[in-house]
Amino acid sequence: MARPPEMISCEEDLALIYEFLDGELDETEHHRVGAHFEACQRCYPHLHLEQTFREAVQRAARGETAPPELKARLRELIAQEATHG
Amino acid sequence: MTRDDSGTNSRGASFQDEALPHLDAVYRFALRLSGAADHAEDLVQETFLRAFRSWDQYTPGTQCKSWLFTICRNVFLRQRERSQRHDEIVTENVNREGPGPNPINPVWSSVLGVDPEGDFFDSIVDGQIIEAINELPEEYRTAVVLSDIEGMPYNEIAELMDVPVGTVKSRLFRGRRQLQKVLYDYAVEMGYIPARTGTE
Repeated sequence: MARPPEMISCEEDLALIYEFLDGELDETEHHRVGAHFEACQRCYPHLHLEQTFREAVQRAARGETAPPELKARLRELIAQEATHG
Repeated sequence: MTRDDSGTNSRGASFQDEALPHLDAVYRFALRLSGAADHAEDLVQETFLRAFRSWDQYTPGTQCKSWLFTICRNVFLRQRERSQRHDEIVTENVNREGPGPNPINPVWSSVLGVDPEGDFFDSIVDGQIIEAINELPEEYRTAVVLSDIEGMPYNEIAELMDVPVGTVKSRLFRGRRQLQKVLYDYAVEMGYIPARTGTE
């Protein structure tokens, strides 16, 4: 049976913060850990900062796309491989 | 499932349909591995050529993106060995499960008193964040990129990097903490956030 969120220590909850954010906890544990974050004034700010950090990293990196000339070159190379390979 | 090899057009077409849509993601990954656009382009080209040559060995509908990333990383590591350039040696206890010694993040402890919303991240330009990622040791960098940017689950990252899941967790913990410290120090240096000693 899952323990109520108030029975989870802050240290235990923070130790699971990455697995929680990465979606790697099972459903019961995810709910337990998430409920503690929602209810704890000490732990929630840490969760918020981790989420903000992750959003900044994603924003910075996801805008990069392959140059159009690389795409064109690849299509040509693959066509050549398909013909001669 | 038997691939239709009735003609080269079919093989080429199936590759273009299933593998080429991952080009942008592979390019991003190659950029993080190599740190330079021209090297990344060469790496991407080599990756897709090798993938196409092995296309008959790939099972359609399975993790094509992971497969491409694995090829890309392996090509990069072999090139690095040949050029005899090595990243900082990462010493880690691969037998140790669990994240690290302190679940309370000392960087966040410092930030919370002065910028609890983390607004300083908005002041840091994307290029600075990319540079900080590129400076991480390769093992940490790869884990962080695959998880935080590409959204890959731990078991796929573990398979791609050929390490236990526990090692993936450890590398993510250390890589993220190191990246956060670098960005925090940069924000303090630039005046985006006042320096403060952690009180927690």
